[in-house]
Amino acid sequence: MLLAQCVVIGIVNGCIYILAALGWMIVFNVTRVLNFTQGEFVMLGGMIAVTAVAMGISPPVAFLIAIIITTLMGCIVERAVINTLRKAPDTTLMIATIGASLSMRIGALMIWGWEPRDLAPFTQGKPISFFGAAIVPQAFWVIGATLLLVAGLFCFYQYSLLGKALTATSIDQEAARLMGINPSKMSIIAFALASGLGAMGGILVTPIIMTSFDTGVMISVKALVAAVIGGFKPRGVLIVALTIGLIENIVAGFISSGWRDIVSLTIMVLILIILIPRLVSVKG
Amino acid sequence: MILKEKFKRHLPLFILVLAVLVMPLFLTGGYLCSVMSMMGIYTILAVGMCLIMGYSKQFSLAHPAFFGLGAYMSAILVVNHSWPPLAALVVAALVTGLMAYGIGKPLFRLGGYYLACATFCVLIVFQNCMIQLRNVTGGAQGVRGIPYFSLYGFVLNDYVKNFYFIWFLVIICMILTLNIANSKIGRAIRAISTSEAAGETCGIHVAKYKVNIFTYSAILASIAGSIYAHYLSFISPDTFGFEILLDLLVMIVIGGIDSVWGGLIGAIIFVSLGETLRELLASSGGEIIMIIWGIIVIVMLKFIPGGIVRAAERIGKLRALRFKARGSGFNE
Repeated sequence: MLLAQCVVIGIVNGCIYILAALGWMIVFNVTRVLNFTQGEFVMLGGMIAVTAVAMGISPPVAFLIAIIITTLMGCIVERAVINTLRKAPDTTLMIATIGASLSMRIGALMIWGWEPRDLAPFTQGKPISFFGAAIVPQAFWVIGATLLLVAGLFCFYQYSLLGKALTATSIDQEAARLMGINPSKMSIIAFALASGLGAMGGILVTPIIMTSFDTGVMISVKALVAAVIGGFKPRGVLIVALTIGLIENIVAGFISSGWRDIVSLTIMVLILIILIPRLVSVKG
Repeated sequence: MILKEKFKRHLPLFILVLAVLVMPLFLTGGYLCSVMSMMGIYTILAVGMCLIMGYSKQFSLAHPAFFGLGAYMSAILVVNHSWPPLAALVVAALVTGLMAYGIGKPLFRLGGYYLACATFCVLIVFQNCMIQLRNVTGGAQGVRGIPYFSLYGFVLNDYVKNFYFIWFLVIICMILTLNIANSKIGRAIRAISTSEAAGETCGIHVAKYKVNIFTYSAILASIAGSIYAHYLSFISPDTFGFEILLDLLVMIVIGGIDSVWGGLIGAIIFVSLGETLRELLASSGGEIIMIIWGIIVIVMLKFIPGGIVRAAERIGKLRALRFKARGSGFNE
């Protein structure tokens, strides 16, 4: 009963982490930089959607507006931080993205205040009973949309020229440049993709867990863990992000919700410290 | 000539000692004194951060967690188990050092982002643990009623005594850190940070040096935490979160990320500018200051990547060159 419920909520949470972690992955693979504003994109997507709906715009249009504005923000961050500091060492770039995320978070605090915002579910309806678990319709939206997005991303990378150019840049930037691919352009596309994915995650999840100005940090850290342990490869990222979501909600269901972050992140740190060095050294 | 060179090299340290000795004469009222003491605590933190982020170019986010670990261990040992403060400080520093070593040892063999990820987790886990372990740490309320720091019956019970004590520790920490930076270890680390492969071929044990520096900066953070706990007499989990990390990053970027003095200069500028801005902008709410810091960080990194210390050095060098060109300069 309880387990089924936890698993379903875990998968829903895992989907959000997947979307955010894919953002980390896309940006890292192209630019070799950890972009700490990833969580803020999720927050911005949710917040803008809430505001647009509250202004009386019909939800689909509002969501589109939120995605577009967040994507623009992503491009602005890329131009302002990554592009201007192209030649700086990696630590400098990471500090700069943390600075940008600080500005975005506090900006959100000033615009929307500190109270969490809620959004109406996409479709009304009674929770559906499934193995004794009550599943709200929104959960299907989240899972379905994530599946679609991941499939779409796969097709984009596999079949379109732009996707192939992105892959080429992530394998070897210099060689890609010699083939006539503009790395600066690839970097801005990567940021647009990442921020768009983040915004969609934020919009999808806001009806289930409310969004406030500081949601970004928690989503950021879990998505980062998923991306790093997943080895910045799509399959690994999907598995780890889902696992984090599951562990968290099983802990929240059976122990207490206060311990969910502690247990899940401690397990991940232990994996990082104990397992990863062995795996990597075996490979290298 | 050698004496002159030596004097020139240690001049900033002399100025610092002199400034610390003279400062309380100008500090009237507790407010300024307490601001200066906080500045000292921030300096110890920022210097450690400069060492790990600027000198060895490793991205560690766990600094506030080590700071908090020191503060909490000191507070709990002194309040609940009535240990003497100095013993608590030393034990806290040792435990924090061990923990940093345990995290750093496996991760420094791998790429930089593994460390960033693990330390980010440590930061979040630490803060949540302090909230959840209610019967040990007092939960979200924190620990209250921590006594003043005392040493063999000498109690630091007023602002001036605290000021001298904290800045005395700052000076010791500066001397230690400068010695490390100018010794074999410091040179090895600078070699690693420019090119790891080149350093390794010269026989530098890369991972070992990185772990040692990481542990040293964690110990500094822990000592700063212990002093902080005694100084404020109460601590709560939200002090040791993401916010203080951002403050520290702003400090080291302003001061100069790749020099030890950058930590000190950055802390001084950050605290004094922050207090001034807070007074100026008190009407419009304090949040806008944070946005300003975020923008300052990006602008500084773009135009003055070495921070104020490097900028001043460059200006000094230019002036010396012009001095020489005029033909009246001293010969080498």
